[in-house]
Amino acid sequence: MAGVNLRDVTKKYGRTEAVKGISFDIADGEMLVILGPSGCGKTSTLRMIAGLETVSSGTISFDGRPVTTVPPARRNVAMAFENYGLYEHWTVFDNIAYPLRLRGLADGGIRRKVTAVAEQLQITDVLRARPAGLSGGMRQRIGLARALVRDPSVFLLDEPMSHVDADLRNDLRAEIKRIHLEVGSTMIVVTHDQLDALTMADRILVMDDGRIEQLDTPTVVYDTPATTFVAGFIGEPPMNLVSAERSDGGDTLTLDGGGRFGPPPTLLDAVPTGANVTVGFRPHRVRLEPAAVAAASGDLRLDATVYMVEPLGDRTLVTVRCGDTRMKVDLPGSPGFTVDQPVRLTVDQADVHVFDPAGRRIDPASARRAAAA
Amino acid sequence: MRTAGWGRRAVLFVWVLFALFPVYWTLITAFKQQVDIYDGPRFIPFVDFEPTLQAWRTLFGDGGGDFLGKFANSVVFSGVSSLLAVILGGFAAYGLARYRYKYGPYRNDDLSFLIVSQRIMPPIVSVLALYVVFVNLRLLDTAFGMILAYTAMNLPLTVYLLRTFFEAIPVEVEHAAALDGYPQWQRLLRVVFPLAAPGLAAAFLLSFFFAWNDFLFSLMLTFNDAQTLPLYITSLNAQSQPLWWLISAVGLVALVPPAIVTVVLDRFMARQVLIGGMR
Amino acid sequence: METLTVTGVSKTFGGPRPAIADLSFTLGGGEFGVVVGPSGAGKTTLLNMIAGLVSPDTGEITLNGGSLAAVVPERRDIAMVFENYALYPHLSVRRNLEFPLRAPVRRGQLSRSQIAARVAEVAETLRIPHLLDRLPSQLSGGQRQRVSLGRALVRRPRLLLLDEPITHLDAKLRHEMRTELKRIQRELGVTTLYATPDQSDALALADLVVVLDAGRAWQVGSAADVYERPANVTVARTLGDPRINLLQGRRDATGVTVLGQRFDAGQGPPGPVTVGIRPGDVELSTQPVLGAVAGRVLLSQTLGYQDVVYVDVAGATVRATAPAGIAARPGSPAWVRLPAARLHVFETATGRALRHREVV
Repeated sequence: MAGVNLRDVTKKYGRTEAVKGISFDIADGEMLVILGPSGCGKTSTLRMIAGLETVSSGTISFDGRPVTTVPPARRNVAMAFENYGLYEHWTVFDNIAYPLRLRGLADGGIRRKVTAVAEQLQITDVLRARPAGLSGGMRQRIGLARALVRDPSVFLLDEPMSHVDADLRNDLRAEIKRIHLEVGSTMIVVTHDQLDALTMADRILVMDDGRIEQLDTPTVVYDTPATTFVAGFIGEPPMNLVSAERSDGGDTLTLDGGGRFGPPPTLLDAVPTGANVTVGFRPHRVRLEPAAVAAASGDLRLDATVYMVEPLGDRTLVTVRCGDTRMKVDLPGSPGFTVDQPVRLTVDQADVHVFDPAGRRIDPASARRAAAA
Repeated sequence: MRTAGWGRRAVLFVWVLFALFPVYWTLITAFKQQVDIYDGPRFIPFVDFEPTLQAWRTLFGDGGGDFLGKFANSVVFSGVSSLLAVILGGFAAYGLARYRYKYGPYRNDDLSFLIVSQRIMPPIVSVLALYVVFVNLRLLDTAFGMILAYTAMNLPLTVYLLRTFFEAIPVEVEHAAALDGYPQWQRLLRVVFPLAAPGLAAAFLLSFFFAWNDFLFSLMLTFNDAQTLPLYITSLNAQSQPLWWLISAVGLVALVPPAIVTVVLDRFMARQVLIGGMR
Repeated sequence: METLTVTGVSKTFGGPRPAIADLSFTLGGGEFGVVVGPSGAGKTTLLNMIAGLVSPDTGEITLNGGSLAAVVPERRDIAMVFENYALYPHLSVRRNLEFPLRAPVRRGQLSRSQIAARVAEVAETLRIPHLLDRLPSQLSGGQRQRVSLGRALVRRPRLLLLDEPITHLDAKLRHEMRTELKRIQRELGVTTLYATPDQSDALALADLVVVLDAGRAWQVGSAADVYERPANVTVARTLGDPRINLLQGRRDATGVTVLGQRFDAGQGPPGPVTVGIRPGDVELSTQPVLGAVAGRVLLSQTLGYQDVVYVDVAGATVRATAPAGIAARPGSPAWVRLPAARLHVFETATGRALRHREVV
């Protein structure tokens, strides 16, 4: 086990900079999920930690010991690949035993370790089988077992869910989290799926365009996204984002499509007048009422028409249209809204997020500090 | 453009000289007389020697009937046989890529292997058998026989090459065309062949080169009417003083058809790039 | 608006078990049908049979009463959107959209200007007019998806088949496209059959859901039917996210025992039963509660708007949803209450439903 530290790490491929000077620390035993769209630099980052890619500049260290130039084989990292990397013509047992055989461990020791890991991952039944005929979820577990059996100091997973059926993904997420709790090794997972990140991570590192957008616990990242990118990337459906403007000297923000939001004074002070800011709110934080009966409660008010209603069992997703923007509202149960019905959306002050023209979060606390300074 | 270092430029310059010199030598030799060739090396026209059109007059003038006939033979045999090999091979390859066959114990992969295995034998072995067959069928020294022989020689190659090309086209694209209202033949014409164009072009090109450069079949299966260019060149060589000026001229002319075919088909092969986004 | 009927259709591809076994359903004119099931369930085979790309071994498929058995795919006037989009890579977006209109089977039906008008109209609907002169290789996944849908819609088919059309889009785009699809289908009124592994697509889109697994239809009904009244364990497990809890229980003459608790629910002849309860119906507490069983937290996952907590109760794992940020650390005690009214009961031997939860 080991903590991992990155300092000003960059990665260049020719002239394109895939990773643009990032620094972060992973605590010993932590589960960090690196989340971002394809091409954001997350896989390059993972591969640099593994030693499979050279670092263009900056340093990587494990427990304070620099490993920037140490070859992958001597870093004691294990990596489970996106495409499993299993030897199809070997039995599952031989696949898992392979890293131990490479180290010249005795047969008895190998057997003991493989059996223990197999039990942990519930694959004892297939140890004699060959990987070829097994399901995606099973192959994923075998890949994990082969990585785990070595007691690595850092355990890396590259898109562990990508080949697993949608209906099994949640099981595997729980599985990986359970393994992490049990084994307690430092784990770094790379994924493009925000649900993987929310459900598995101790902390999430959100990346976009080679930079860190936010690094925090799932709850903080979800509740107080640092940028519009994070807000629009996390949550299913993601946060509604609407451009807005503070009229000259006014104490409300006017939303695109005609809505209004009256922010608390501490926040209002930090909103520049005349500039194009972005207002965001989560779909499940919205109250939706037929326009005819709407009461004037709530700090953000927006009139719209229902565009589509999608029931989801115990919840219902209502898409509303307001001018050219479409917004999602996530409601419990089966409210009786119909397509093209005029409605009013209201959101409480505390549930509204405001982002500056550069897309960075404006939050009342920092606004207050700025005002005091 | 990046600026290369002087060292690199110098190396490249030497390499270019090295690579181009034989072409240059062939070119100037084709404008020499016998005496200029056998009287020590002469490098620069008008300075070292006086260029002459003797070779070209011999080839294309009254005395060149022999050459033009062989040249035409080469063009026709190579062109027609390659076309046949691509068309027939294309159908066979499409079948192997899209349908499941079952002939006794044989499946698609076995059939594919059987076809390719025709080329495992050295040509010298098969050509003897072919000779006997040709004698009996009276195909010896006929254009039809030679086209048949070259087509047969190239079919395994085109089938093998094109099967992979057809397999790379997602079957859903053909299904889409079916649902869009196109019958089987139209699907082949409008969707499959355009998408396989790079493969068809490559297969034609390779077939053409094989047939164009063939010496053995021509040597064994022809003696006069159906002789091809390589044999003609050999006949010029078979003298106490080879007619290098004439051989060089023939060599230059022999470069032209493959060059034209390559330039024309290269454009089709470049379309591969566009079709990258098939999935 | 065309009615699709599938009657007793079976198909075996040489394997030991059929890809589709004795499948029957009727999709009314203008309805949105969704076939939901895991990969390998037979969804694509079913769509391919309706399209005419694969012929069924037995059974009949009809469109508005007319049998399709003898009709070749190009004459069925059925459009399909493929999982990999299957655009014609050598043709521009415009040519792709024109392709069905210029087909031999429609020769002479539309003039050149009518074709152009149709293409412009469908491009407008799908918001892709700016892409018309590009090649498919120059488009993003979401754009290809739209073009592929446009190519299917441009000729106003009798039936629209969609094979996992949004599976490969990212979460945000998937949501947008799903809403858009439902809206477009509603506006055009074209009878539509949509295959997906994603249960939320089925619930969100469908007038009619066909739950398919291992080639069999386990239930055919409305979205509310399959969600509220699953006919068997397979259906209960397929629909709902997070997935329903399935717990081993026993039934006797007066009720059901599960997790050591008795409920006046699903009484009948004694025997083993499987009790199903949706995670949202489980009442979870970090304090002792009357009528609740004690357990231990295995792990908790946040979904942002709520948490899913896995609790070990007497060796069984129970999933429960809880407000986001509930203090449920792994290893800490937790109390779980199962409201009797919210239990589904299934016969363990057959998986058949004996009782459904009461709708509140």
